Amino acid sequence: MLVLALYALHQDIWNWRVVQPVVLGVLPIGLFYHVIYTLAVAVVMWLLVRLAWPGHLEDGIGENASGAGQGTDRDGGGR
Amino acid sequence: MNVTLPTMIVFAYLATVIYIGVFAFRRSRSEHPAEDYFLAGRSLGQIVFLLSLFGTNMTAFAILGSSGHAFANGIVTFGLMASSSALVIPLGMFLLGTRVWALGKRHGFITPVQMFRDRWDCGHIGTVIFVVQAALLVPYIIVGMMGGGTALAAISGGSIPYWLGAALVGAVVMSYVFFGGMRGTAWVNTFQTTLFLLFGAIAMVVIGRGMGGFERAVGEMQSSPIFSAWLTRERISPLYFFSYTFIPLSSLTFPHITIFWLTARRMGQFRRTIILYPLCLLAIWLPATFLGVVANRATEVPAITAKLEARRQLATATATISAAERQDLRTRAAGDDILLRLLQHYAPLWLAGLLGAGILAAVMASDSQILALSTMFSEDVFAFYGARERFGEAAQVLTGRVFVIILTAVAWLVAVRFPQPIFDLAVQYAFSGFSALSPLLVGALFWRRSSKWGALASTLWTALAVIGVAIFQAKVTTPGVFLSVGSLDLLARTPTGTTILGFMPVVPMTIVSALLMIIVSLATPGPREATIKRYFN
Repeated sequence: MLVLALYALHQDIWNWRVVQPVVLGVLPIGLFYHVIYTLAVAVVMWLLVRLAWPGHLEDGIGENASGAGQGTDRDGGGR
Repeated sequence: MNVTLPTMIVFAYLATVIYIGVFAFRRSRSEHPAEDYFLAGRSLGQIVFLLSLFGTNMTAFAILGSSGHAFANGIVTFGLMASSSALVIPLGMFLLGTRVWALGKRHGFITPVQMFRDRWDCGHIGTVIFVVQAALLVPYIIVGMMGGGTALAAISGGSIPYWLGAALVGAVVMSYVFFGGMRGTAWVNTFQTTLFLLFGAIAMVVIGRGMGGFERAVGEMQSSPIFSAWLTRERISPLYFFSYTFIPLSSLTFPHITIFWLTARRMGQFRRTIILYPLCLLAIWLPATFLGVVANRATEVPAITAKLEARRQLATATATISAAERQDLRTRAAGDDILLRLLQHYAPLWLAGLLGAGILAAVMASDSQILALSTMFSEDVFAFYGARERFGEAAQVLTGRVFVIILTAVAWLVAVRFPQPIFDLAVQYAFSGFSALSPLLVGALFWRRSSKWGALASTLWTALAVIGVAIFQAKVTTPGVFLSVGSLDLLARTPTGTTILGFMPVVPMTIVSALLMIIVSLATPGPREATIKRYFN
C-alpha cells in the first residue's frame, strides 16, 4: 500500500504550473517536492528491507555455491 | 581558455583507469576462468557492489543527457527521471534482484538468457531473446561512445575532435574490460562513482559562485516571461510525465544490470544498496538538473549564448524549413555539453580538469554494457551451441575478449557516423525496448504458468514495436498529428520522439508485452512440473 501510495504521489499535478514558494531561494516547489519525495522513498525502502526482507531465498545456499557458469544444456530443461 | 592542464588531468585519469583494469587482471583466478572473468567469481563486497551498480546506471545519459534535457525543458527533468527511478529501481532490486541472485547462486546462471532457457524449458527461443537484447543494448553502448567524444572535445576546447575523443574513450574502456573483466569493470566503476559523487557537489559550489549565486539566476528566470516556464513543468504534459515512470523498468531488465546482480557475494549486500540507491540518485541528479536549468541564465558563456540563439531560431522557424535545417538547429541547440561549458567558463583550470574527469567517469559507464554483451555472446551462443565443450573454457574467455574489441570498434564507427543528441537515442530505443521486456523477468520469477511461447510473443512484439517506432520517426520528421479519430490524437510526431494517445511509446509497448505474456502463456502448454518445482518450491 505504501509503495502504491508513493507511485501515485509521484504524479503531483497540483505543482505543475507553479513556481512559488521557491525554497531556500533556489528550489522551485516542483523541484523541492521531488527532492523530498526521493528522501521519502529511501525511508520506505528502509522499512521494506527491515520488515519484509525475503531471507527465505537464501535457504540452502552456501557462500560458495554456484555451478561455475553452467546454466543449461543445449536442449533446454536445465541440468 | 587554456585547456592544456584540464586535458592532461583527464589523460592522467584515463591512465589510472587502465591501471585499475590491469591490476584486476592480475587478481584473477584460474579455477573457474569464465565465472571469474564474467562475474568476478561472484565475490563483490558491499561497497563495490553499491557504488559499481549505481555507476553502471549512471551513464552519459544520466549526467550529460540530464543536464542537456534540463537546459531544454527545466526542472521537470528531475521528476521525470530521477525521482521515478528512485522508486522503481530499488523496489525492483528488492523484488527481482534478490530472486535473480538466489537463482544464479543455486543454479549457476551467468546471464538472464540462461535463466530463461532453464525456467521455460527452451533452447532456441532463448537465442531469440539474446538477439533482441543484444540489438537493444548496442544503442546504449553508442551513447557512451558519443558522450566520450562530446566530453573530450569540450574539455580540450576542440583540440581533440569528436571522432578522436570517442575513439580514445572507446580504447580505454575496451582495455580495462578486456583485461579486467567484471572485476576490473566493477573496480573502475567504484572509482568513477566516487569521483562524480564528490565532484558533483564541488561543481555546484564553483559554478554557483561564478554565476554570482544561484538565487540571482533563479530570480531572473522567475521574472522572465520566457524562462519562468523552466521553473515549472509546463513544457511537458502530465501524460508524458506519467509515461516516464515506465522507463526505469529498463534498468531492471538491462542484461548488464541483471548480470551484475549475480556478482554479489551474499544477498545481504542488496540491503544497503536498496536503501542508499535513492540517496545516490539525489546526489547526482539534483546538481545535474539544477545546473542544466540555470545554464539558461549563463549568457556570459559564448557557447551557451549560441545554443540559446539556435533554440530561438528553432522556435520561430516555419514549417517550410527543411528537415536537415531543422536537425541542424536542434543539434546546435542541444545541451549535452552544457555542464562542461559551465565548468570551462567558471572553474579554475585545475578544477575544470578534475571535474571534467568526473564527468568523463560517468560517460564511460558503457563498460558494463560492453562486458555484458561479451558475456552473453560467449555464454548464450558460444557455450550454448557446444563450442565450450569442444574448445574449453579458456577459449570461451578469449572469445569474450575478442568480442569486446569488435563490439567497441563497431560502436565507435556508428557513433562517428550518426551523431545525435545522447538523450533521444538512448530513451527511444534501448530504454523503451528493455522496459517492454520486463514482463519476461516478472513472469519467469513470479508466475508459475508463464511459458516459453508467452516469452517469445513478448520478445517479438518488443522487437517489432521498436522497429516500428524507429521507422515512423525516420519517415515522419516534422512534428504534428499523424493519425487521429475525431478529436483524439492516436499517433503524433513530437520534436524529440513519438506519442501514442499522448503517452510515450514505452507505455503501450510494455502493456501489450505484458498482455501477450499472459494470453499466449495461458493458451500454450507451460513448463514441466519438475522445472516449476525447482523454481517455486
